[in-house]
Amino acid sequence: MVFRLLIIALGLLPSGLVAAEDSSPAATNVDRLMRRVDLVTVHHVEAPSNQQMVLTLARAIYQARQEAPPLDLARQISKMNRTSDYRELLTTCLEASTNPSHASRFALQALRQSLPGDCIELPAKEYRVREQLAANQYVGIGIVLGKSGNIPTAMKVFPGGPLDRVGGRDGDQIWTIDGTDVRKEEISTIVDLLRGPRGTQLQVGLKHTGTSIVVEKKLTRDVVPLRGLRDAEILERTIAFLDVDHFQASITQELRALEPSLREKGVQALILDLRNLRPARVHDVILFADALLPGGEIGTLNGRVLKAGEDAMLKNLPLAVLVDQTTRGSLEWLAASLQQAKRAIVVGDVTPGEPWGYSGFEINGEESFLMLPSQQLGLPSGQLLVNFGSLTRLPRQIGRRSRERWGVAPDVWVGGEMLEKAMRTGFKADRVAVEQAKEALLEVLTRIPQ
Amino acid sequence: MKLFLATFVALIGGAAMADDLRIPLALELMENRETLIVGCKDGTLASIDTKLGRVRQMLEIGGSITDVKKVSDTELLATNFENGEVLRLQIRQGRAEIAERKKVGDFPVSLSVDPWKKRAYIIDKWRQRVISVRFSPTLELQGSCQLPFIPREQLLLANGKQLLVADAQGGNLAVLNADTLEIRSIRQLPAHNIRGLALNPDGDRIFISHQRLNPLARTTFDDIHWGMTMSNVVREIPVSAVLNPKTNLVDESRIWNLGTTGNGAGDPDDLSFLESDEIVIAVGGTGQIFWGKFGDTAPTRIATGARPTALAIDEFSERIYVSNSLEDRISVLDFDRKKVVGSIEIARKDLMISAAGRGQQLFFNARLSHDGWMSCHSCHTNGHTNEQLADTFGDRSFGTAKRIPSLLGRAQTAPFGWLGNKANLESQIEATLESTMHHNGGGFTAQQVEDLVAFLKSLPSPPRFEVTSAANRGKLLFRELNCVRCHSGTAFTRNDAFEVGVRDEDGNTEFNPPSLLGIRYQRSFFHDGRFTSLESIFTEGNHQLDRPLTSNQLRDLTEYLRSL
Repeated sequence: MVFRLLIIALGLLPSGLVAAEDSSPAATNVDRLMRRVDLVTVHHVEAPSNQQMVLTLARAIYQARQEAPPLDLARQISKMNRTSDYRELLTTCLEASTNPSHASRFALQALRQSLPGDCIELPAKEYRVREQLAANQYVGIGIVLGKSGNIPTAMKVFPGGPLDRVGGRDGDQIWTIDGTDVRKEEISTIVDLLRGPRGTQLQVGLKHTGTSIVVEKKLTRDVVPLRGLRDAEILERTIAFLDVDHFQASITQELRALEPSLREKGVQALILDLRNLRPARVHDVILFADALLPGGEIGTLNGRVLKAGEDAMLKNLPLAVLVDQTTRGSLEWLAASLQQAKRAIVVGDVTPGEPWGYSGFEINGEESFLMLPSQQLGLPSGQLLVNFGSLTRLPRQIGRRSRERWGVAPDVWVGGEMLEKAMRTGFKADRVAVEQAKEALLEVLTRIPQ
Repeated sequence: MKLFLATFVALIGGAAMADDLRIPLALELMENRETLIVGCKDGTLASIDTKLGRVRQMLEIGGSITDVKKVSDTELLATNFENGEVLRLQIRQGRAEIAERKKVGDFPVSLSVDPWKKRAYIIDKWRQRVISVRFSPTLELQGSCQLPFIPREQLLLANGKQLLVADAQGGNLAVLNADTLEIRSIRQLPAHNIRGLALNPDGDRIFISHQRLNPLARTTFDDIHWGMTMSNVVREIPVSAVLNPKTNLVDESRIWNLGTTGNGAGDPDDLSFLESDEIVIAVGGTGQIFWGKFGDTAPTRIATGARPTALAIDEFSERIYVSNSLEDRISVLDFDRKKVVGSIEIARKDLMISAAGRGQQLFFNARLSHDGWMSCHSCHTNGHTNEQLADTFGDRSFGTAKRIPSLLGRAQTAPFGWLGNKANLESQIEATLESTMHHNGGGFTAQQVEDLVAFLKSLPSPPRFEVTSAANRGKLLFRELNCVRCHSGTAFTRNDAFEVGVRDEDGNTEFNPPSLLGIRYQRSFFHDGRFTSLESIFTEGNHQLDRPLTSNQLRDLTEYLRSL
């Protein structure tokens, strides 16, 4: 939860589209469009042809102009095979627009939406913060920023962080930064002022709750380590429930560090919640799977077979992972890999079937990055994650959804009438899968000789 | 087979010796714990009065003392690597005297003495042998056993009836019948640099210190920071599992990860079990002693000195002696206070450490890496190789793990790196410190690089053996097949990259031909270790052959390669 608060406090959108402003004065709108087409062509795992993308862009420009495209537009483009032809066509389309910048942005949005998976454009500084967070190397002063009484406030001060080290407390109001009064500034402005490279200094004027004096504190920006795993909740028969707050680079190390205390508590089985998470970096997921699997294949990455090392953590502890439609990309691949290796029971709803890993690519000449699916993930059996599993094993409700693609078929399905019934008896929706996983693990434990 | 020892002068345990440091490698308490014997790589045997904490005697034996083991309270065996001999010494009133010298093997590196004091076992490293000698009453050679890996450490089990022998580079563990030296099992752990073998006081569990390099992890800052790339561990395995050849040792293992985020534990070495059920581990790379119970997340760390590698435990006086091998100093630790309470210098007077000596200190120093997770030695074991794959940025990409090459005798084989993209040793070392080890603080000095270069230049090639008639025929075939197109000169390499019909995952097809010197000491070949024998390079890989080889030609050619 802390991580999600931080994301919001930093002004980052958890997902979806962020329109980047054109930060390069020299860049023409057509240049901007074609740079993205080129990046998609080179890096997207299911890239459409250039002609398809140009057609999407041209149609969207006509739509922005509130005009119907020519009937032979597709035919015209299908005859083109040179970049100069595409550029000429798009230039013509945009020149006829009364607001070419608006039409260009509209066209880019249409292009991104037409691509399989998410295609997100981020200003460079936001992208770098995301990377810092994914690596658990976020640099800051260690607070969750918000407003109280319309004044910028450290809603939470992270223990051990730079502000904590100089005596900052939860609820402290931030009145000045480097001598400037910031009380009336927007959150995004304050975020910009607080951010900076590791080791750089700033001076903050703080007003503690219940006092009237503003105290000046000198801070050094530093890495603020965040926990990706929340505290283990011990359920019946010492089954531990581990909620993943953020799947980050430190996740394997966090679980490894937790293992001795879990064993000390007599934990016999584990539930790992992979729901409601942002897509994780493929590399971090590979290392996590490697740490859990006692040898064998993890799966494939762009066709290359990945083999797990023989040593495994949480050895002899049965495992269940919770999944649903929010378990996407590399995380549904992780669930499928653990399921295929019979290392985990998968509990929950079917996953979306997006077997891709995401990477960010710098857009030349612009201070922004394009994040798109760039890695194809496959299963050890050679199967693709799409339409993985046996349909006959799934309840009828799944079939009725008539999805075009779906991913991991859970071993214990949670949804439909079962979910409704459980919720009627007082369970919160997200706890139903936890209960089901617990039941499944209890059954596994009865089969293990003590 | 005779040895060309002229080409191999001062190689001990794989690493060349800087001629200025003594390098204490082995410790043994004698004479009711009043005398501490220290075997040094420079051929000195130091005798220390433990009560006074002073050196009593420096016995200049010559050669290189690699191990010392007690036979009785006044009798000691020592291995001399350079001379290929075992020495029998009498210790009286703190003074050592050589009683017998016996030629045993060619490269003895470790010793063990059976519980009945009737027999001793010697590891002959480069010869890949275990040799047994009998006391009757002089030393007599009894038998030997050839191993398919380069051995180093050993431990007697089952009341001296079985001998456990560990790999010097990779993760092989062999169990031998101690009577007959017959191999009972050879199994492999996911491990390298096995340096410590110890039993718990009950004798039912073995503890092994070693490292693990994850080929899926990268040498990025993130992976190293979170301890994903190099693990430094103590592994516990029941003795019953080790003795049963059918048991999967990994299944039966428990792992104690040493080091935490922000504070690594590069190069765990010797370890000992105390009666208190605590384990003491010399962590060579960080210059510390770790002290705690198995699995402790925060064991006590005690800084001792440069590269502690050997321990001697005095339970009665509650003292631990630690050899800081690259500082010529013995640290004395106290049980109660868990801290250093004394220090005994054994260094030469007016010691001046040469550039190669300073380079050696850097080579074994894990503090050169981010948070101390690994040293150069962690991958290039004593200058050789740990036989693992590492995903570094040396090939300008990640995701294409490459075999770690040996550095022995390779200083003159520029260019460096699998793609041959580093023109000289300096640029290779700088790239390694920056992008592989993520040197702490981001800065290293030109002097440090120069010192490392000097050390690498001091590393000779591994020993070569006499050229047989088959090898002579193989030499002609080597020329006839035009192998010299890529593997030429005295180092059997070229300063260019060549297409050899293989492609890595990143699409690279041209590789700098690796030197063939010491190729007999490799267990895998090509950039990704795809071949596991010299023969398979030709039978499976058809490497640069314009025609199939007959079985005789294959034998001759591989025999020649093994002679290099």
